[in-house]
Amino acid sequence: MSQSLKPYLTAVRSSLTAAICLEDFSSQVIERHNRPEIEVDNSHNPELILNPMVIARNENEKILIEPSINSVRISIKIKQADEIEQILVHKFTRFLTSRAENFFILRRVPIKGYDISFLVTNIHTEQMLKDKLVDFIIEFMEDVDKEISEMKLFLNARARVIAEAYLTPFD
Amino acid sequence: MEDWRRIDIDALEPEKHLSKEELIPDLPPVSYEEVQAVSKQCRTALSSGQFLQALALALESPPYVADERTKNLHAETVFEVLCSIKNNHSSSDLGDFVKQLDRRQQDTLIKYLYKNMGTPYGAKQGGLLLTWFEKAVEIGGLGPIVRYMTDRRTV
Amino acid sequence: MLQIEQNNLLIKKTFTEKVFPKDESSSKSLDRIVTDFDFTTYHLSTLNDNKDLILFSIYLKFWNDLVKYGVESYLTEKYEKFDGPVTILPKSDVEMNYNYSLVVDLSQLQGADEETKQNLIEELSFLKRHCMAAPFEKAFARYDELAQTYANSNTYSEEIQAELQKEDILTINYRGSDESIYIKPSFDRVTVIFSTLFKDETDKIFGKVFLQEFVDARKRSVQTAPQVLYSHSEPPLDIQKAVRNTGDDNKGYVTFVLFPRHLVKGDRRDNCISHIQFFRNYFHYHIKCSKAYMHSRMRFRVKEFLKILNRAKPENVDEEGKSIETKKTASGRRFDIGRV
Repeated sequence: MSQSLKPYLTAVRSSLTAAICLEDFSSQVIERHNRPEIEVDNSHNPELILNPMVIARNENEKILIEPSINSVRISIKIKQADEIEQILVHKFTRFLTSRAENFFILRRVPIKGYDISFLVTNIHTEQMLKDKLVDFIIEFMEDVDKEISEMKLFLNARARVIAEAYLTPFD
Repeated sequence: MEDWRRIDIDALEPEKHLSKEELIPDLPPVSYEEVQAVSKQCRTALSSGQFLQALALALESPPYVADERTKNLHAETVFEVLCSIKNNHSSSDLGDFVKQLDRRQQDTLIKYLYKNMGTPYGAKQGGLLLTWFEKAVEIGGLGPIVRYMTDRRTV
Repeated sequence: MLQIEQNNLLIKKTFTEKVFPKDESSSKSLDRIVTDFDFTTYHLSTLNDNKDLILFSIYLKFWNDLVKYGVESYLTEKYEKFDGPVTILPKSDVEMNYNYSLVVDLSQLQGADEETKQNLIEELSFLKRHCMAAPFEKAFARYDELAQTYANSNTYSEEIQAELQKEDILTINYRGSDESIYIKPSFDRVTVIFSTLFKDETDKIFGKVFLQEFVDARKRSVQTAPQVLYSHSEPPLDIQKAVRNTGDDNKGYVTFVLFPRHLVKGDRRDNCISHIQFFRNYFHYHIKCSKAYMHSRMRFRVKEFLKILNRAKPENVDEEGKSIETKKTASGRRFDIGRV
């Protein structure tokens, strides 16, 4: 693990542990509604939204945690060093979001400026173990980086083999 | 008759909801000049090698009620102090600095760490801020983080 | 399968069945349309009055370009040696909607030896390759001429350089005007330029990575290979006159510079032609393969992520906190853990 990755992940872990502390909360504005307060317009009850947190490893890798009384929105910006990584991240996140159904906490559309967003509500924390949810986010962040760089390496290696296989028979 | 569908009921019942303005803590506002003065003091302390004093000074008087410009100026001051301490000490010493702060100052430190990580210049120095963050959480636990989220005295 | 086969397997199989009949069924009548890539279509059919006569026709999108570069005479040269069993139909008798037709007479093949038969089948399955080879042959022949002409002159002089600049560019618009092959002969080289279109952003970026490796391969390991150059959206100087609608951001130009060592007459030249004409297909085929591989990888990764996430559900975890993938009943049957 590289030098600055560990403090980054520990910071994310402690922030998430603190932020995922949710309770059931019915809407104060609309009767018989119970909505993730972070996702709705809160000009009428700003007290339900807590201060958002940004944890940045560098300009290209950061995470935004927006807590509220009954939901937390977590948005991750994945490292993209060049054009290839950009396209791979884009493809990968699109692949994930189109399977959001199975991922329970995955948000279909990421927040602007980030690559992928999760939405954890009190329903999730009631049915799932909070520590394991945090584990999931952390492992996700680690594995995505690994996967993207492996895919990139593979692409380059493949390109090399292909080029040589094509050019060799000329002679 | 007026279109009753468009009546803003909340406006008729002002007690029912809090507004954004009401969340601002009831504290005396801090002016830009005051913060500038603090910034100067911190720099003087730093240049004479009084790192802990500079840090305590910067964290002692955060401008809770002020405009964005003033708040940002103070965030930069804190950032400067943090960078300066990091550059002049080894990473293992940072814990001692945090230990010597009182609880209130530790809370403020976490606030400024989060704030600075959200800025472009802070993101560039992500590693540095994260080292501070790690130490602060090691010593202060999750308390300061929870207090950061819930405290309306934002920095 | 790294390389794409240059002959058409289905054509080969069909003729093999006909030429070496195994049982009664193969003497039945035949009517088969075979579609190849690059919008190519073959039609194999027995003639109405005689089941021993097979009509074999090909349609190529870029036939008109090929005609300019003498494809008909080249094909005649290729198939003449089978005169007797194979009859090349004159232009007026070519099957409707097709560009070129041959008639194969099975009855005349009966006496021939095994090798001739195999040879014939082989050549027939290479029909498309031969069609596309015509302009290359022409360009290479022009190179022979130029090499002769300038053998003893100072090729660096301006007049000669200017003369060479004017050399005609052979153009094959083989997948419409956006994806073409340009061939330019010179006295010491033949330049082949492919223009290719990338359908989406991923193709474009994968394509760039691939082409970069093509460019580098020569420097790194295959020193004897043709030189490869790549330019994005702007066509290379050599062919600027011949290219229409330039400046398209999704378009790329790949230049191969074939040196005399690749153009040695005989097998090597034939091999070179077969190989280079398939570049576009080879290139895009491997882009698609990479995408497919990425896809299967992502599928796997998503499965792994789901496993991790499912550990968060209490019913999936035993007392020690380890995840249980499936539960079994006393009789050993599994039941699905109910989804939330």
